[in-house]
Amino acid sequence: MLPIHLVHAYVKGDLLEVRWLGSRKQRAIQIAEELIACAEAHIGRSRGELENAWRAIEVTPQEKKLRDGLIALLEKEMALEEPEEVDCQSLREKLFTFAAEWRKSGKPFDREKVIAAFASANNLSPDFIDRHLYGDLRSAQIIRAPAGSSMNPGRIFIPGGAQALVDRYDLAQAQSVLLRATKVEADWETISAPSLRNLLRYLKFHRLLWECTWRGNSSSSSFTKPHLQITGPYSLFESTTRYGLALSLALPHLLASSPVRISAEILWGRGRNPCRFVIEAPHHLLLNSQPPPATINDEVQSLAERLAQLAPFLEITPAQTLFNIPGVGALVPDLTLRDPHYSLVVHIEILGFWNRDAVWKRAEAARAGLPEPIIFCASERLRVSECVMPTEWGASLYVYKQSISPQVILDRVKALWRRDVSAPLFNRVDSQRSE
Amino acid sequence: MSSVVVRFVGGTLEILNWPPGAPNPLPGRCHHDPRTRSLRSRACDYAALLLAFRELGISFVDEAKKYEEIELNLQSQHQSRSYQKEALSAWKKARGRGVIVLPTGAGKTHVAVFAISQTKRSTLVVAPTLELVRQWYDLLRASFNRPIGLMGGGDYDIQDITVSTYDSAYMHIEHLGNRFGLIVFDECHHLPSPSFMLIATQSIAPFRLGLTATPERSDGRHELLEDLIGPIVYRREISELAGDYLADYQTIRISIPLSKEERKEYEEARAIYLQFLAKHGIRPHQPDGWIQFIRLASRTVEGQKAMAAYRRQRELAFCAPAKLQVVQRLLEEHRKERTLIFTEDNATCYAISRALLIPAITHQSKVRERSEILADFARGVYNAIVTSKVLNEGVDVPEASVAIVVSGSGSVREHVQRLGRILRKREGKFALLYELVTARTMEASTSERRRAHEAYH
Repeated sequence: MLPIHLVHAYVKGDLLEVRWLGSRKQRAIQIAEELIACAEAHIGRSRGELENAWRAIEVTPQEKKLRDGLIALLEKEMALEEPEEVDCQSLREKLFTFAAEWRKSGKPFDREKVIAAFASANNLSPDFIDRHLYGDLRSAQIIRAPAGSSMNPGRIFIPGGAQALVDRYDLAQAQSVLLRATKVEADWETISAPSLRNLLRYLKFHRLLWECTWRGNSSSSSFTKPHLQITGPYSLFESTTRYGLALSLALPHLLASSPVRISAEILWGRGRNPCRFVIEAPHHLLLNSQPPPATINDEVQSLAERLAQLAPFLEITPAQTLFNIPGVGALVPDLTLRDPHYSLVVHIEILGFWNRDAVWKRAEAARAGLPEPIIFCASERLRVSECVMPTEWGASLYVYKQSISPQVILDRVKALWRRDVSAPLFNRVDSQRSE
Repeated sequence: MSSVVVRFVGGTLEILNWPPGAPNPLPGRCHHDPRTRSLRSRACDYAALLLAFRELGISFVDEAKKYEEIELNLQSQHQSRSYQKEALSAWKKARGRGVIVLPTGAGKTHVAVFAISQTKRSTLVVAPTLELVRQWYDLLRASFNRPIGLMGGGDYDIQDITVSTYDSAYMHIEHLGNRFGLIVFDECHHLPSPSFMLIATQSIAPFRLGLTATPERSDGRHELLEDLIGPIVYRREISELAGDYLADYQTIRISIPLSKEERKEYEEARAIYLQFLAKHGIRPHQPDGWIQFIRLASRTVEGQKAMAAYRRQRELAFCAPAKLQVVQRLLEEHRKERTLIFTEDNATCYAISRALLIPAITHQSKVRERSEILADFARGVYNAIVTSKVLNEGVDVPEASVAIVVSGSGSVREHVQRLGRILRKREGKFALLYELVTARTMEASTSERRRAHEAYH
């Protein structure tokens, strides 16, 4: 992210246009190379000196923001440390006390005489005093090579060199714009269930709220033409940039899910004028983003392993399915248990302890009828009763105490499947248990 | 049917299980939220919402309120002055919601301590700087003899009475907005900024107290204070309290000449700057005029020269070398008193510190060093401190009786606050504020603008 004042953007009509690097990329790499070379040449010297050297790199007025933006990105990679082991604060305290006593004594104040007297009394040189008096200010910090960094020129601070620094620039601009966002919307042609799940989990983690609708069909593995609107709880009352940081942090995840369009409502400039910021395919930020790694959290991983030990005849996989329940929104299971022999399926969603309302929503969804059976696991800290979701609804609510018991899960699986199939399966589950 | 539940979620109140067909409890303030299929209102509507439930005869479970009634024993024997009693009584009459306007040095914090002690609710005190947070922390600990929480400057410790910076309160109010029944906003003119105002709206605290010497803001947003805290319930100006409750004072403006060479350089730089403005029809004092200048200046080489010229003429006016000699002379003249020196920027602040060998406090100073400098200043180890803007507001330095404004902005509030730093009453104290203004430069008009307050007439 860049400081907002370094974003190269202007408002045209009601659109906020960001000046992307585009044809300036080569020039940006040249500037980045100079900045990096300059920084590397200043290893062991002060931040103030480096900042002066950076500002001395000649650029046209139009390139000044670009140079300063690249500096901001480069600074984040640099290792800085306090100068040599001189206790500057203690030096100041002693010197200023000495000078105050000098004044109180009625002697005329002459800086050179005061410094000389103090230096002599403390066995220091006047030059040392002047050098270290404010040697602990930000500008006096010393540039160091990061631990374990490559010592190849151009690669000490950033392994990918100037090219890598420039590659971050446009994303950093877009993220900084979203710091002033009040709402973000995204549209996809299709999105895979794991991608959407990862994205929603990320939004959940940042306490953002969303509404997800889709115009096309949903299948077990993907959704067609979904539309996601992301805001925060307080957004209902006013357009607030309160959630700007969370929205900004979510941008790389949004980009990585390959939407066709991301648009944001922005309050821009000093006057916080409302405008819209749009990234639309084929935008280079969309083309260059990496797909998110399929992640599975520790709690789910551990449950999957314990279930596999207990019931090796079941296929246990990270869930690939999302359910769109009208009026409730997306249900995002974590695991899918499948009996390949009888083609039976059940999903597990771990709700944890953070959202009691989520349980009520799922109970309503279950009452309305779920496309496939789901076991919802909620912590007892949510203070909900398992009675709110009778098994006849094709779903089960498991309220656990400390941790999720795989045995209880298997019992619930059994209860849910019993509604549909004949005994042999359950004998198998039972025989597994007796072993 | 499930009973109605009110929950605090992310700085809002979520109302679950609202009976179908029942009227909206707070029309216009409470809305249906399709994202969660619940009703939702701002957290600050908590008291009104509960009242509405009662009026509608709707029973509810309150899961939102997490603040406590607390037992408080006021330890200090501070005697209230008559105007402090009047202020407190006016605030209580306004049902514990309102702003008290008193000049610096009039003891606003003591009014707040009495308010906390009489309200007996978990309390959050919000102050703009770490220095003020530290002072509140010390005062509250001494007043109530109980653990006091702290948010800001690397601390995060929540107690029934907690002190926070505005920045930290803004960051955490989404999670802590239901934890306090009373919020005290010190220097509450900071609150109506688009970000900070969420501290008020995302909190359920039914009791709110704002303290300031100067509520008015140049952007007019002070009008929002009534919604965020409550109306101004009590107001006294410096002139009403000077002599009786505040130290008598005098303000002296000293005109500083530029040398011949400086004058030449100043005029040349100013001409470049003014020519650029004239060429592009920019009037910097008009709304957006300054922004227009910055925009244009960044686009061309000519603009960059104009910006450099603007900076140079400003530097010559604000940091005229002759000012240093005058400061030196004033320090000698007042060597038996305590002097605060104010500058507009850090560079001048450190330049004075280096040249005159007096401690500097800026936003770069670490908290421990700031505290030690202020403590040594109070004890008389140091007779002078130089600061940029950090000590403008609220910092309690009763020993200071001389202020030297080396440079400053055109802000009336800043200038009044700086005067306020030396007005705390002490037996026989007469306060003096010197304002150093470089003659025949743009600083003269800046000085005129900031003196537009009755305290300077």
